[in-house]
Amino acid sequence: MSEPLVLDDVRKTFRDFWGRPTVEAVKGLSFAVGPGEVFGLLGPNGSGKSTTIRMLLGLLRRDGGDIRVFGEPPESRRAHAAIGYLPELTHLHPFLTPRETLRYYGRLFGLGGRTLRDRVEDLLRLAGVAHVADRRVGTFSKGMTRRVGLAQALLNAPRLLVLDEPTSGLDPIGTREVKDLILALKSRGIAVLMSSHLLPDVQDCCDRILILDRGVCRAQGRVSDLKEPLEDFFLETVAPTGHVSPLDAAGGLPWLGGGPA
Amino acid sequence: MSALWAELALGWRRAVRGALLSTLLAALALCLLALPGRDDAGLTRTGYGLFLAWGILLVAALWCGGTAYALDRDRHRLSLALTKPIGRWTLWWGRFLGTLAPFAAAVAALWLLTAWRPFPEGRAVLRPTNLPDLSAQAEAWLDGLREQGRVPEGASDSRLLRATRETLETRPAELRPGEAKTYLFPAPSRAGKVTFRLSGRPFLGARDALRLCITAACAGETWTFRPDSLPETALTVDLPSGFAKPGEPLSVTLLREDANDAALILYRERADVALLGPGQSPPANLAAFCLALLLTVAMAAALGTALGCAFSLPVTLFVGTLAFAAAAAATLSPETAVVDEVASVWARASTFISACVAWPFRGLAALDPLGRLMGGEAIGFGAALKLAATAVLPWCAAWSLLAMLSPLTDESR
Repeated sequence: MSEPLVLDDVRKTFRDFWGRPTVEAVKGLSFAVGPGEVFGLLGPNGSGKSTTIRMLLGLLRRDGGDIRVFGEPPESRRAHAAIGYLPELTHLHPFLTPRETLRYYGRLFGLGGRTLRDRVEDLLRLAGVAHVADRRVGTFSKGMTRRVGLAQALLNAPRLLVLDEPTSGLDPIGTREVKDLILALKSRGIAVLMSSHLLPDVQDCCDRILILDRGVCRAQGRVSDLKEPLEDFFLETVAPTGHVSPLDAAGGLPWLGGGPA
Repeated sequence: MSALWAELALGWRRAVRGALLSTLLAALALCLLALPGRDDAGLTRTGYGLFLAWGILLVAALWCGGTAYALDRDRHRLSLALTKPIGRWTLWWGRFLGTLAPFAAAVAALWLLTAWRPFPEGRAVLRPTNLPDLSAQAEAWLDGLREQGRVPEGASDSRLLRATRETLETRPAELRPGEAKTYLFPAPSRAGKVTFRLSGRPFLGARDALRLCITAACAGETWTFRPDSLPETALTVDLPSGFAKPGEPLSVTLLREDANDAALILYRERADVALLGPGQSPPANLAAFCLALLLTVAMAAALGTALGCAFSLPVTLFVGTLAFAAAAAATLSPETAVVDEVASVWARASTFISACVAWPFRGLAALDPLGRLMGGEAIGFGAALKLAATAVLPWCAAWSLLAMLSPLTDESR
């Protein structure tokens, strides 16, 4: 059986209208995610995490390298049928209710009838939005929209779950529930790729991590092999010269708040 | 199919729960019920209202088609759909049908708002069958122009022939003093009222001095009528009840009995001479008009949806509105000259684009649904459905094909 996800020397450069390169977002990235594994994709802002995720979902064309999702190209329908995706910003149709939203995406997966009906109700309960299932999503808070987004990612019983900042916008209870869910899915053999800035969450859930910085893999390995807290390891990896206060880096900014004490 | 229905339902809900459907219905009601004017016994106000409603629906369909894809893309709502196992064709057709669904409801509402108006019966229009074939005349005329070296350069033979034939068709024929012309008509399909009509303001000059004798013949019977006075506009003569027999061809002879050179009888034989037979009831004729209207709305929605796939939202709306202005002039005007102008512009750009763009509008212009509805002529359901199959569906398919050339991603344009 094919690996859920394999990236091999993947490259992506963004270009302007005239084809001139503007940003080399991903430079020769390689990693794999095995079945039942939770893989963490970490990196500072602008490191190429979202670009990588969009390429492996087929939303963005890569400029080089290969990506395989269960042995299929990421743009293929077979790959899409096996993936559940929660984007970083969950934009849903505001005029739909959660129940209608899940039914809509379920139909896009080819589900219907009793199967879809039962799954929708199950996922509404799982996401904790069953009590507002018939209220329009446009009236929801960010956290509640996120919960609906998570529910739609599970509609097709995915074999690979791609979560971009899964706990973003959730309250502590929601965060705990998501982490428990990820671990439960892992125990059922579902592969999970998650991208997050919340390093404690990553340390709790992930088996392996990859730290991306300016499109390049800086470190990759098992969380259990770390000899220090993940946060320290992360900071050492992306800022090896040590942390500098932003105010000092910008020259003090004496006009801001009356100057230094 | 499940995905197609999902997209259709999404478009429907978007229209119903947003302001679209209610705004459309309000606009239609305004056009059809509240247009100013003192008396609408002649249905003038209703005619203008339908014209306005048609324009509103076309613009709205174009814009809604454009936003169906572009708006979701620009607001980052498309990524979740694009990561599902849904084909590009399904996505496009689903969005297109989802755009069309609320407009179908609006057109049905339009029918309800106007069905109670006293529209004239949709009479079947029978044209003379014994008129000479103009192709030979057109070719002879063109040969003459070629001998004189007056054929424009770069013009294709087929286009010249078509233009020449159309000019000959619209050239008026004169009924001179003492002259008689006989027109043969096909048999009416069923029994009912049959009317001879000579339209287009045929009587010019000293009308009072004109003397016209109209003789109808059918199944060995003849009937003669001499109008006491000739009208300024169209002449309509009801044949006696039971005179026209279903299945029996009918002839009408016009004989000018006066010798007055101060008056003229001029008319276009192909366009102005007709026999009006039993057709379809006013509600049925109105329904056929609504079907034709829906077909043009579908064309606008297809164009808008394809543009929305390729361009950003502002560009889509701008380009779409320009395209609508050109298309509306061709579609809403029954004058084929306008269609020719549109066609000639496109032909200079590309023959292929000309074939794609001009031909559906020719069909719609020839159908002239609004003109027929208000003029009491039958709009054939068969003609409308034939137009759907031969022009509208290929138009929508062509635009969907062009849309497939653009990358259907969720990246902002």
